[in-house]
Amino acid sequence: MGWTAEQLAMHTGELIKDAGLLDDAGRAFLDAAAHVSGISPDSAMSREGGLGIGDHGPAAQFRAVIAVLDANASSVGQDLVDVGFILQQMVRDVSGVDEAAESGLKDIASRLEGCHR
Amino acid sequence: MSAELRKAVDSLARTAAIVHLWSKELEDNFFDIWPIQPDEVPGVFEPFLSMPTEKSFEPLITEVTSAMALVSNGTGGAGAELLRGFTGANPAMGYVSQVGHDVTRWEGAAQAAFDDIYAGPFEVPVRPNQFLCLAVLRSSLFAEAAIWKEAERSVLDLVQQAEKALYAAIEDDGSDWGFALTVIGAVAGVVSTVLSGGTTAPVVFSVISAAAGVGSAAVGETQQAPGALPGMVVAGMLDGVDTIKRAITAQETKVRDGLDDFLGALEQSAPHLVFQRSSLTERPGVLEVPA
Repeated sequence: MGWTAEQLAMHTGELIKDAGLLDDAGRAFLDAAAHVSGISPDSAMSREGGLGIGDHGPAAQFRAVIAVLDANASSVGQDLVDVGFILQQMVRDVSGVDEAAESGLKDIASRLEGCHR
Repeated sequence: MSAELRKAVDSLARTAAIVHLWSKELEDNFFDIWPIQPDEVPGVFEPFLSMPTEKSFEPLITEVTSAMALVSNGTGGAGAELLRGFTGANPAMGYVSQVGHDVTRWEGAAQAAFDDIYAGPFEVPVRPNQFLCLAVLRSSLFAEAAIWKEAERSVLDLVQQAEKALYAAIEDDGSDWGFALTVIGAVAGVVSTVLSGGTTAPVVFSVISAAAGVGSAAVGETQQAPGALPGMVVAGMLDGVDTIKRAITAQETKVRDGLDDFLGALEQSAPHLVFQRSSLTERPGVLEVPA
């Protein structure tokens, strides 16, 4: 059984609004990646006089792990941001949007531009 | 390095100089068995004066903890050993399933793709694995910090006991020479929490605690003359330094090996750590109103 015009309007508005939440979820992963990529283990682990393993201990291993986590969290975050935007576009294409939803889309688009920079 | 250790090393060096002089004056035919001269004592501890400190890891741990809070849904996902008191949660982590619920009321290829590629995998394994990986990184930073915290404590203990033993050596009347050597033999151990390998689905890392016993300087019956006792104390002190150095290397090797194992697990688990990009993002497909 198909949707009535009233149901379509309700579901359309709901999905557009909630798809925007994917932007928040994605941005959390992008922020997490920024936190991780911002740390530098070399200075914390540097030492002199041959203590432990090398002049910087296992800093190289830490850097490698950080790079992988940064890339993964960035990938997940960007995908969530992108898919949220695409979902909103789809719903708009299918049913059109009211003025409020259009405004929301523009807001998301603006934030996406910042994200992609 | 702490000012306390610097001060303790300086004090030990002064005491060593006094005791060395006393040893010479005690016997007319003093045979110097000191393995190093008093003015060389500070140099023995010089590497420890520039070693990392527990505090130097705090900013790194803070950053990783912040990242964990961003991707946590507050329902755990990692063992208590990995969480170490972490209790953060981000409501935004529930948004994906909320959108997934909305989308199921639509039809078309995009609806199926969103559910199969994003909403489902986000709940398990993508988000939990991302959180777990951050928890492992944080835990390994804790492990490295613990090594240096215990190293500092061990070295400070050694320096203070060495000085105490030297005083005991010159104050002793010869009836209980073993005391001084016993004191220097009680060197503290270096204990650290280190990472262990081991993976199960989706990705599970465990943490174990390992204690590295630190040997003591040779202590036993001695028939040396009183003037020789301080030299034996200094020899024991040098043994203690070597033991602490070996313990640091052994523990740090465990951290390095644990991280290597972790990197291997990350590589093997790569498909479970990110979304498998779908036609939803590359080709939007269709999202249809139910007919």
